[in-house]
Amino acid sequence: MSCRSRPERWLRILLLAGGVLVAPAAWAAPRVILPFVADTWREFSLSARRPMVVVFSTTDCTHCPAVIDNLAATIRASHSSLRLVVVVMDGAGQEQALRGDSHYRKANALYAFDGDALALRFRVNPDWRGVTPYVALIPVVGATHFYAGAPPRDSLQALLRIPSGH
Amino acid sequence: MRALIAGLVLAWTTALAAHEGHGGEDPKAGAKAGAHAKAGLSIGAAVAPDGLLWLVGLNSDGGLFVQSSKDLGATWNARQLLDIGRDKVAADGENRPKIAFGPNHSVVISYTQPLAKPYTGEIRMLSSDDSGMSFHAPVTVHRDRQVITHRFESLAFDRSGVLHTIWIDKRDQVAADLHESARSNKNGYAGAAIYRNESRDGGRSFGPDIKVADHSCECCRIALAATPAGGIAALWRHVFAPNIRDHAFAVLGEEPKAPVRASFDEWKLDACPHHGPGLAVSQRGGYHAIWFGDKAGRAAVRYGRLAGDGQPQGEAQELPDPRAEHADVASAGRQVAIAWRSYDGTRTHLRAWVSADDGEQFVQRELASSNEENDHPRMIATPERILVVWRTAKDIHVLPISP
Repeated sequence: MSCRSRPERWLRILLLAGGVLVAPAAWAAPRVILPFVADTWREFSLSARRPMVVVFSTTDCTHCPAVIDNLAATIRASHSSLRLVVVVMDGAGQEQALRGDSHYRKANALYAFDGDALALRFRVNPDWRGVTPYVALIPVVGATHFYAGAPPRDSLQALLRIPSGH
Repeated sequence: MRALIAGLVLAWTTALAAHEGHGGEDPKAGAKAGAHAKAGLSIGAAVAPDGLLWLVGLNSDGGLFVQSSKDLGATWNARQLLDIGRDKVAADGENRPKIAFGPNHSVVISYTQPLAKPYTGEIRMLSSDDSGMSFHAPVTVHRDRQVITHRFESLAFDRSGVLHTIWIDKRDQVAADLHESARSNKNGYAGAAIYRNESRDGGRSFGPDIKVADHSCECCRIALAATPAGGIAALWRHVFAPNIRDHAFAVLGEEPKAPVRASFDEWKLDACPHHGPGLAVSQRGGYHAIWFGDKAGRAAVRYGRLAGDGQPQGEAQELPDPRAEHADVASAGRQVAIAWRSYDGTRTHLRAWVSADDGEQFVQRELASSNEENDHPRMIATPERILVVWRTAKDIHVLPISP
């Protein structure tokens, strides 16, 4: 399990909060692959000021690109402030490849697991056995919903209708 | 304090710009924030004809090594680093290097080499004809050399000494996509395909690529087991129309026109389970099988019996652990053992279900636990015993299982 210094932890919280405060003027590719560590999932929930869709992927997940593409297209078409975050579970050390992947470029933020994948998975959802894409719909208020594969259209539309900051 | 806040704000502004894409292009930016790269823990293990336990895996630098033990893991010989040139080796979970022993002192080691294009790979093999003292340079196993998926290989020698290699292959999906694109047909080819070949010289050369089945799942390991007749049987996750990810069975070389459906969880899923099955021969005929699946909304690892042709026999049973994952099964005579790992939020437990009567009754055993990062358990059966080999970040656990 990774241990982080307090300033680094606060920096990541500020990063996350900043991502919420500054609405993207245009769809912009993430240029930094952030480490998804033990506290990252909790920070997603605590600091979210606008709803998020988090897609957990792997580099050999052949279903993931289409799900990411469809989510990105739906979010863009809705002009929503919904954030699309992609977490590549086996992406550590593959920053160049991840940045070059056109699917990941559609995310607002890109993370890679940094630590014991089993423990990180458990933090997200103890019932998750590693299926990818694993999609979490995180509203600002209310429970997070998890889906193996593409989320149902109704669930995504419901999240898209929630105004930011609500 | 002011300096700290100012520093944080500056760092936040800079990082935010990069994070949300408003900063300048900095191709090295990821190196500062990126997750720490590490070599995969996944190993292959097998017992040699002389009784030595061998394993193959990656060291912390990503180098492929073999190591052997004459006392079932109490002590280990020095690691032997293998020369694989510039190859990279997938060693993460379902994708792992493998080792197998054949006749005439032959040893083979296989691995998947990921290629530069995403979701692609080729299967490579090292062979030895001096009991593993030295290895020939790696060769590509399959004749198809497209930069596409050739991954998740499994391999085994049959009783006559023929080496069988079987893998997941996307050549048919690629061909179907091209064909459909030309015809503006968007129906798509579900999943990948299972291909295999044979080597009659211990992995030095290979026969033609032979299709076993269309429409396999794309991301799960393939289980192999010796048949009573000395052949090799395979069990893999399949995509039954339209999107049911249950399991299919075939005896290599005797493949029926359509694969035999071996499980009926009816798991409709357009995603990658990353969770392949296990298979072992039953003394009273047929096979013991384990697999992960979601049946009527209940995700579990299940145990079932298969007839000699792969048809399910009776109801499948859930393992007695709702957090069980990546189980494996092995048999030796009437002994049957199923081992799995289970994470409780703090530690990973290695557990087993053990039977002395060919799977009629099972008792549960706690084998080990660890708070370290760890691999899936690997089971090995010899005529005398069943072993489970479990690699954690700092240790290799070798645990004999007896009823």
